[in-house]
Amino acid sequence: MNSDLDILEVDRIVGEVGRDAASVIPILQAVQKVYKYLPEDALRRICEITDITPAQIEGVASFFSQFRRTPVGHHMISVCDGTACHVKGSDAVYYSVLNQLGIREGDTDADGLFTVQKVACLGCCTLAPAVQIDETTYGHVRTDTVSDMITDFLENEANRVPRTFQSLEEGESLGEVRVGLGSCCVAGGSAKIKEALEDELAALKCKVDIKPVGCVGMCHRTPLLEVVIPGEEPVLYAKVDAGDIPEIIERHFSANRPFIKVRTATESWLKKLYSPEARNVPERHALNVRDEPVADFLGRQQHIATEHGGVLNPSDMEEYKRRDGFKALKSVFFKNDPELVIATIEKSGLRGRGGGGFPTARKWAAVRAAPGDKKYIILNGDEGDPGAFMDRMIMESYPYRVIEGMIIAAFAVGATEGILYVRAEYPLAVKRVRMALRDMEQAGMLGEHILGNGHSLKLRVFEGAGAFVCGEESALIASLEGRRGMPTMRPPFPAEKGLNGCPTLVNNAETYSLLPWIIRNGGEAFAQLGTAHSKGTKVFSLAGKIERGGLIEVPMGITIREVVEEIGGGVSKGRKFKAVQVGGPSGGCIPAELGDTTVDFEALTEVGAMMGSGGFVVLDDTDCMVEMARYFLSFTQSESCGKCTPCRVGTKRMLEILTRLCEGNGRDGDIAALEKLATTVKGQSLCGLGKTAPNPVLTTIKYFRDEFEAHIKGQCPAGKCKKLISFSINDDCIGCTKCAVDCPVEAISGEPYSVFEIDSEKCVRCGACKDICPVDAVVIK
Amino acid sequence: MPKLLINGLAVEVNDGTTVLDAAEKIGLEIPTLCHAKECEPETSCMLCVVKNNKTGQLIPACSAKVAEGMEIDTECDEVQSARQDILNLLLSEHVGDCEAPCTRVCPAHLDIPLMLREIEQGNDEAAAWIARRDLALPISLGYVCPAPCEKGCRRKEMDAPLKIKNAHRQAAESFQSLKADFPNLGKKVAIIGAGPAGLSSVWKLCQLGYDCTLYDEAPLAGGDLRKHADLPAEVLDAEIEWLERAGITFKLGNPLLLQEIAGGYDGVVFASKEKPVTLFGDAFYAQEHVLTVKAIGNGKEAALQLDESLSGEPVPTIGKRFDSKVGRLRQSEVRELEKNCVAGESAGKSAPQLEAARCLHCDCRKPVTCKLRKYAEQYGADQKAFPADERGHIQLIGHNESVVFEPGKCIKCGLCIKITKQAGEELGLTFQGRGFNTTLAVPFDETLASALKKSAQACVEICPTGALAFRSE
Repeated sequence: MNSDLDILEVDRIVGEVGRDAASVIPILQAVQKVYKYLPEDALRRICEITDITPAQIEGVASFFSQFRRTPVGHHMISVCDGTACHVKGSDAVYYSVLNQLGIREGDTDADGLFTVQKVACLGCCTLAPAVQIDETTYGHVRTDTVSDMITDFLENEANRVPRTFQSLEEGESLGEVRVGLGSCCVAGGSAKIKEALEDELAALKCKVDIKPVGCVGMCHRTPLLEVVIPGEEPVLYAKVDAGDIPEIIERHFSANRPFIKVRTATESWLKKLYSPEARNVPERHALNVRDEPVADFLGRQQHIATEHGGVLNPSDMEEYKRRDGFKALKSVFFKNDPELVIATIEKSGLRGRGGGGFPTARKWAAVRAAPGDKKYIILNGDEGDPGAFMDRMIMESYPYRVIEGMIIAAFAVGATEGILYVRAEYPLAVKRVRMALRDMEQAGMLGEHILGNGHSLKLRVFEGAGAFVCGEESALIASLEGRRGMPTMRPPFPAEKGLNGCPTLVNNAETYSLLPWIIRNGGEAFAQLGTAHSKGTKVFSLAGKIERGGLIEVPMGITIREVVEEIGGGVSKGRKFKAVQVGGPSGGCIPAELGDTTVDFEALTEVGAMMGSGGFVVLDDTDCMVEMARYFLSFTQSESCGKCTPCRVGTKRMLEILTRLCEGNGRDGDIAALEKLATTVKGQSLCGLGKTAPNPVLTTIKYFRDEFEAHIKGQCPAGKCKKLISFSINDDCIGCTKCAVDCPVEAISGEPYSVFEIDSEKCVRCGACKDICPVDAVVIK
Repeated sequence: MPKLLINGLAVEVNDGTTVLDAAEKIGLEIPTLCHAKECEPETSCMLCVVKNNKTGQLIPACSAKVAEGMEIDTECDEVQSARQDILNLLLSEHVGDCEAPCTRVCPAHLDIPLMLREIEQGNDEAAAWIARRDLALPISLGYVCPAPCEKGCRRKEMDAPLKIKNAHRQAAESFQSLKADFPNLGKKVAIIGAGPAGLSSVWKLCQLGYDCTLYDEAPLAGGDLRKHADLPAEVLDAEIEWLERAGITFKLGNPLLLQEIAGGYDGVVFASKEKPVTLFGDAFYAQEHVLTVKAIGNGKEAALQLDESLSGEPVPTIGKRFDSKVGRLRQSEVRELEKNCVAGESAGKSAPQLEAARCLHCDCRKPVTCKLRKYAEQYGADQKAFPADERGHIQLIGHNESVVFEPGKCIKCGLCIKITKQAGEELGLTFQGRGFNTTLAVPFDETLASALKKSAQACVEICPTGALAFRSE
């Protein structure tokens, strides 16, 4: 027995979580929280004192990527490798972090201070590339800012003591300052802004309410801050820095209140990226919603799932109530007719927002009709799609709405117990949802006899342990039961035989969050939006090579081009719009020529993509489509549960071919071999993951076959595939040394004011030099 | 009681029956690797796919439940090709030889590794029987054979190949008494030509249970083998006598009356240097060969062809069986296989035992019962259809225990995991990791033996491949 290990901690955890076999994941999560990894002695102890068997614990602990079996450094650096981060150079950032920490082998530095890992998606796609160190997220990280990031973390974050802030009690409030506290905003620095606000207001002895609000959707402009003074027009500030706070406060709330609104020219804020340079030149970032880009960004949107976005305090139940919250719930319970609820949903034409687009009312009717005394309801919040963050935003910003929707659904299908399955990688969502559950229990909206009605519902939170396949409902249920997250044959569907063998309703966060609006406004009102077969709105996370990324909610039937150009403001940095990747690893790449494709379930499937969970990543002409296909397949391949032959082996063989194409080792016949494998995997896999995994490959072959052919000849037309290109510096070089300083591997050398050289052997082709060169002297061949 | 059609035949079964069980009810066997009656379906290998004609989808028969009005096709081209794809994928990650290279290159396909295991364990009778059974003239071959098997031996990568030729000669010499317990099929066959090919052919047919008569115009059996300078005549005579004692009728030294012979027998094998111009009726041909062991192989092959023709049952001959191939081993793999050479007490062991103990046992322990091999053969699978960039490593787990686990042969069906659970093993087995890197493992890195205290036999039996096998088999 390891003497350092305090085994009593394990006993305490088991005492708190439970001794049944289904508790294995929560127990392991708690154990890992204490020890930072899973020591074998702890696992053996768990087996001694619970119903969990050694085979079960070994199987589960090695299945989920959250669990680690070896000790880690004091701090964990997670470099996001989601789609948006990937296309914005997360790879270079990863190597730069390793380089900075002097890690040559393994993932932990010599002092055991930091462990570095790549993670599938942090869900901060608009801040790409994003890096998380413990609880702190850094956005727009570049190879040249990695060292600042680590320094900042060690100086400011590592030993941060949670502060308490006492607002001034006396006096009349002069107004309200709203700070976005969605994950993107926090990653953009909004927590620091909030602290600066608190300090400043305390110093000025101003009584102003600081109000945390959920996601505004304009993640490309984070951190956002809005000043609301009664009787005056609200002023929205974007990309605010803590250093801007005194000025903003002085402008609005100082004694004589000169009140000058400064509007920055729209062009300039659009072009600016969040960077140290921008920080050094504090500028005022006031926006007006009537400004064209903002109006465009918000104009085409229709907020149903995200109703009152940017206004609601996510943790304020009273405010939610004031803004029509729980009205739908009350009306449902007042009428007390579950069939009527299902009929309303039927009329609305609502289809599940989790990816498959199955008619919601039909699913509900099946659960309702299924025999069984006990029925369950599950919120599938295990959004693991790299490049998508809608579910996270919805759970973070509208926890009461999601739960209200769940209660309505539970009432309609007759479920009395439920679980909110939320990715552990979304700590803020977990926290907010937990708070909301507690508030609602206290208010009598959950528990026994809700609102005096006969219906009862018990809800609890379960943190998903990191397996994309658990988005598949039968795998999700397996993990809830304490097993490896491996899907089972359907039918029987969960509606018939789900959790613990009981009829179970599984819907995702977005689906639940649409329900209150539909109940309040009627099924017909929802059905008026959208297309013939796809009704209502859809929330997308718009990211990638786009000017204005963010969380958007648009009516079904909008075209891809409208999303990219009108809402997103077109492709960034003046590059050419090449394609859009819709639906993540299950979806496909739709070329710019098909930009008139409408966004609805049928049209997307028809072009070979899929609605998926709603990732919408824009690609430009510097993105290589073969590499994109490889990227997505490497994701699904590593997330395959390994159960069925086609997916376990087939995706591996496909990845091998794609990798060899990207490395210039392609052979004649590779395209045909890929197509053959793709058809096998698509046609014969057991679950949705395998059945859709070939989509990104098949669509890229279909629309960009010439790029595949070029790779077989050893060329990468987009100049992206590292093994097929080389970097050099031409005579335009002015010898400014920027590239040499920026290079993560010290491959660039030269005398100042003379032409620099790149050592091809050392060069890792990250492109940092090309990005930073002021005279465009770095050439890719 | 839902009614459905399977391959056009109406079936009525209880609600909740699987398509696989419904098909079995009407005598249709659907292939599966991951499914066993005593376990809940895993639905992992996907070999059991059948087509649901109503939806056009391929569904796994082991877990798909029947439904009223279903129309299932278990044999259409789409299903056949889907099954072939599955097998090709499984074989693309299969690290293992169906046959050891020595056996593979031996034209007579002597089961060398098994014979060596018997010698090593001192089972002289069993070893002698294997040599005799497979070679017909194991002692004579011990004098004349150029031993291609030794050139195939993987032990040469380490030091020197096994002395296989000596081994089968010594084994056969050490145990001469007869063990002749063959079935009686009640069918008569004639073999014309008493050279090595003819002798081998008649011996194989004799083992299969035929009433055999061997004809030759020459007064002595043995053909060209008699001219071999290295082979003492008395050695050959003794071996021929041995065959006679086994129940073969020898008719030598008379002119052959072919019409007469043909009329009196159910089947005939011609064994000669050149193929007769016409072969009548159920006659097969075994070519005599300057390489005696090749002639022996030809004789066996012709015997099996005749048997197939007479019995109407397909007889897979070794050379035609599906054969997964690893190819050249890496040095690290040779060292891994060396784990199979259990370092035991050398005291009290005979020289042949010590020599046999050098065998790396690189053969598969389940060449006959392996379901993957069986279906690969049945569906014409091709191991190179989906080639891997790099083949997996040979790995042996539990090498010094009674059961050996070879991860490279595991198809991740999970049957053994279920069996250990059912048997109430304290540790049992589990899957470790995820996706392509999933492996079968013992929790907490304990030994295989500690995981299989109660269920070793059952696990080895249920394992559809050679991944779990008894070391000594």
